[in-house]
Amino acid sequence: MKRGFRLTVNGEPYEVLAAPHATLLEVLREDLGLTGTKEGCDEGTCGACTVLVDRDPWLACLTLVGEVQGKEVRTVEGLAGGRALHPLQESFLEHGAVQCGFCTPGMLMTAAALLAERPHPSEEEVREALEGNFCRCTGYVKIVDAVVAAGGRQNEPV
Amino acid sequence: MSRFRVVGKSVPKIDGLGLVTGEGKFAADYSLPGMLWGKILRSPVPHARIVSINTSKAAQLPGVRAVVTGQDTLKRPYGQFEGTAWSGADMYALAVDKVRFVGEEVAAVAAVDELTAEKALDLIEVEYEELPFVLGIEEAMRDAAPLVTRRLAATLCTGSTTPTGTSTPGSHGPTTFVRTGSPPSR
Repeated sequence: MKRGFRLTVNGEPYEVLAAPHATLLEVLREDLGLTGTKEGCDEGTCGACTVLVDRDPWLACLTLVGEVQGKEVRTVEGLAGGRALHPLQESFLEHGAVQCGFCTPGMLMTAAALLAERPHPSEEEVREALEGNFCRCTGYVKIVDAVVAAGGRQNEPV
Repeated sequence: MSRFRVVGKSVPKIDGLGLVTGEGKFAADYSLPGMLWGKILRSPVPHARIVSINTSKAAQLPGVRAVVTGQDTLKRPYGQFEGTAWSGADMYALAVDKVRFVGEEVAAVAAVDELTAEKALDLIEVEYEELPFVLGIEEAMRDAAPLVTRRLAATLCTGSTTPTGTSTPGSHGPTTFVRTGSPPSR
């Protein structure tokens, strides 16, 4: 039996009808059409479905839609501010940190949470933060470089 | 100035922007009217004869559109090096008569949604007659090892000579060789 849920995703309010056991991942991808958030393992192992919930990285595949009522959800579609890319997105492109791109949204959202907490993380801190995000292309070095550089970029005077 | 426009130059990844913004589409990101969910029933055992598969309960579940098994396929094996003596063509779209590894595809269902497809898998009844199995390469190479595929006379289907050991400094190659096996004939 479906019931109504109210969500805020990327600043937009939504009302969806979903089963109480529906995950945030299912609702994002299937009901809201936000397919930027990826389903990799669907069991909390790979990190591809990482989204921000009130600025913290959450695994959308392990989150029931009811858990995020009244909270702010941010997905990769909402990472850029309008037309300007987020520094992480710029940095991923510049460093060749995108290969097949499937893990990229999860990597970006996990890294965004890290930078919000620690604007200039060390390489070690970046590696630690991203330990739950798998890249099956194994392009980790460039991804870590990109996040470290994005932190440096935020250091520059605007 | 280089005579090449591309070689030796860093070129922008043309699908990069889509991939960092979430706009880029992978196959699973597409949605079309009338699309169904597919689920695969896999073998829980490493080696067994399939005595019977009963799909009738699954097929009768409302929302289920199709249930297929190996019997519905062409039963044609496929794989690497087809047509050669080393042919590895021993895979089936869905298992035919027996399963050779945990996770081998035994049946497939299509249903209106994921939950229905999952329930349908639970309703498929498979009777297995378990067979001896091996869990490692050395075990598989023993003379009396159970055969996984009937097409070959032994589990060892190909052989090669692999150089091992250490090189002496200044020498031009490995100093010892080990012969690991040769292809048995049927």
